[in-house]
Amino acid sequence: MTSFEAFYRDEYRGMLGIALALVDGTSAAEDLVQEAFLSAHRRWDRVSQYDSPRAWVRRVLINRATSMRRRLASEWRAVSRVGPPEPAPPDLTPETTGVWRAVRELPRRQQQAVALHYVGQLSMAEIADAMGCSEGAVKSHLHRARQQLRGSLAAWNEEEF
Amino acid sequence: MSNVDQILQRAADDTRRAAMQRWPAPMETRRPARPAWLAFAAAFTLVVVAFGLIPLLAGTGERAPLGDPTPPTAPLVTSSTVTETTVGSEPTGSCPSSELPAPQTVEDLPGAVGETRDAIIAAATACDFDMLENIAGESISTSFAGGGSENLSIWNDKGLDPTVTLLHLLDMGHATIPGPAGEIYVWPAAHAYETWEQVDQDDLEELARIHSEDELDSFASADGYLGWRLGISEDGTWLFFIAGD
Repeated sequence: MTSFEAFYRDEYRGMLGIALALVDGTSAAEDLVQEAFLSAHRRWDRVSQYDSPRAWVRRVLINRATSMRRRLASEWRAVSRVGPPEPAPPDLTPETTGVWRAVRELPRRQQQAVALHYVGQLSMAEIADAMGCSEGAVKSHLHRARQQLRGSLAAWNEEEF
Repeated sequence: MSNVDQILQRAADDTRRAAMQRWPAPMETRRPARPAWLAFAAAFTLVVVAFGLIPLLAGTGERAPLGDPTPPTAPLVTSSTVTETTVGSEPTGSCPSSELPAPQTVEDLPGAVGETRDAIIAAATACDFDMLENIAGESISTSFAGGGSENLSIWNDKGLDPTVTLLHLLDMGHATIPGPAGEIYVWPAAHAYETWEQVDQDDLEELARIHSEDELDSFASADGYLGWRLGISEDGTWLFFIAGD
């Protein structure tokens, strides 16, 4: 059985990459990753026996991203009344930050598919496992995501970069 | 490779690079240590209680007979309530949904739907997660974990209690929506409305039990209810318990 510490060390950065695509800001992404790992830690006896604990923890991550963004949006509405706009996360280039902001405008399942496919570099089967759907549905989400981004991102890409 | 694909690949490369530069943050997996003043306060309370009992016992000079079959009663103080209860019994408050009034009986549900609803209510009232997972089966869709009954337990990690939300939901008005194999019975009825305009004052009062004013405003902006909802198919299968889009 893999120790939780080893699992955490091995998977942390990959999870953080996916989280950076799904939520705005490095600290929010790190919080999200911590929450997901904490969830795994609480039931590690069970999770470690799964065929793929990493698939389980990714599933927790992508599902928690939605509720975290809802929470952050509500906090942000309160903060924006009194403070200056939040700066772009320093670790990502402005182009990357803009791309993920456009992706986060997509329907939730499309965002998840994009993050897991491009950042997580997972296979279709792994994405389907993490998202709890069929591989066909993953392909469909990715296809529709690219189609929607084609208009917004490509036009915006020419202007911005 | 399309232009969009290239843009996404570039962003992904940059994101992985940024992630690789971060060291795993130390995990806070242990319960934080109690502050010293709390330990002192606890010790002080124990001393006071002990000294308070001595004159009481000395004054009566009596002891409860050994093997007294009648358990003594005493007020049990929880964080929010004072309840008269039997010493040694299960303290109240460990299952918050048990303190909620039982949802009203609904007469006009098909038998199988009513049975599943009743079973969920019974399990939720008892905070019986095993039973909830049994009712849910493997095909249920749940928020936070993408699906699968096992994931109901993830709710606990959110600091939320699904049992309370479940009971509130099942006490609301219901409606039906078309499903792939017949009608799906959904709670709350607002989930079946086509626009937010159809939500009336009664609906709003019901929804306010499980959603904040901000959340209700966001549903109004989205022109549709996107909050917690539960669906049971005509054959009694518990299909979903989800929130969001």
